[in-house]
Amino acid sequence: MSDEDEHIVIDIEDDDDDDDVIIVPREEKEPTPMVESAPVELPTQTRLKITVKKLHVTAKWKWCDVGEDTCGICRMEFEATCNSCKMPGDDCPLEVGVCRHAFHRHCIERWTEGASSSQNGGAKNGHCPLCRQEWKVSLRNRVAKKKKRQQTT
Amino acid sequence: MSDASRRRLLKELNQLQTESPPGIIIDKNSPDSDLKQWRIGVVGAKGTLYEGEVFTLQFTFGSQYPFSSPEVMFVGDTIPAHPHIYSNGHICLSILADDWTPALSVQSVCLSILSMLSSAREKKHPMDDAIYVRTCSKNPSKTRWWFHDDKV
Repeated sequence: MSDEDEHIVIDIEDDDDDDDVIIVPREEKEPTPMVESAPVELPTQTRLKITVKKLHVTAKWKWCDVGEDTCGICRMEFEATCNSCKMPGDDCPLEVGVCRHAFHRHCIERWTEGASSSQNGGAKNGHCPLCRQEWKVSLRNRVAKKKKRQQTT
Repeated sequence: MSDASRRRLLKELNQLQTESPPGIIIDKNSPDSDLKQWRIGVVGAKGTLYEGEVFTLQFTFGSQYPFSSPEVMFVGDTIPAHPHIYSNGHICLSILADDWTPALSVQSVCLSILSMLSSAREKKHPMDDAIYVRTCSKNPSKTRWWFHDDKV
């Protein structure tokens, strides 16, 4: 399976005119198969014959491409939810800016979309809360591939 | 106080009570249970005009915190005489107004104010203190601040 196959390609309308294709990781649909095969015998150096009857597997998930571990806005771990969500993971995703700072999407959107200090009358905040650079979502984290869209004119 | 604001304030309070930076004193019983208003002591740094002096800052949080700035002012009997602090306790500091971002915190605001105290070269209130104190709102957030001097 090539790297491209692991993604769903979604064409989006995007106002920055750079004609990009957003690729988001595919949601894992197939459940992990439960292994219920015959007991496995392990080769050993001793005279013991060891048979594995049952394995208890646990897994841990982590967001890709995120260096720091807590959201600078809500102060919760990235792998936990923002302060307004109940379910972590895909329901409370992260957003990474071109400045490489990451936040929970709900946190940064609440900031960029308005609720700001009383002094500027709720105007939009276009800057990163951590470095004050212009806030632009980095497409690098979602785009695996850039494709020229066909010119229609 | 919204639930989201409350959760963030609880985290900040916990962190401050376990490891507050030098010069910042947080009373164990300081914020009451609704967390809306905090009082925090700040101690003038060594080698500065305010060395050893203790002042009290009052933080009042709105339901939009941290998306909107807290209201912060000096309270109590001793208000530091400083070119950016009015005698009624109001503080002229850009991060408390236009330059607020939700990544700032109680701790970072206290440290900014301490650093502002440390860089003072003269203990005196702003030039327009008399007029400002007579005409301003009780709430410093209502003031339209002009920030003209980044040096002090």
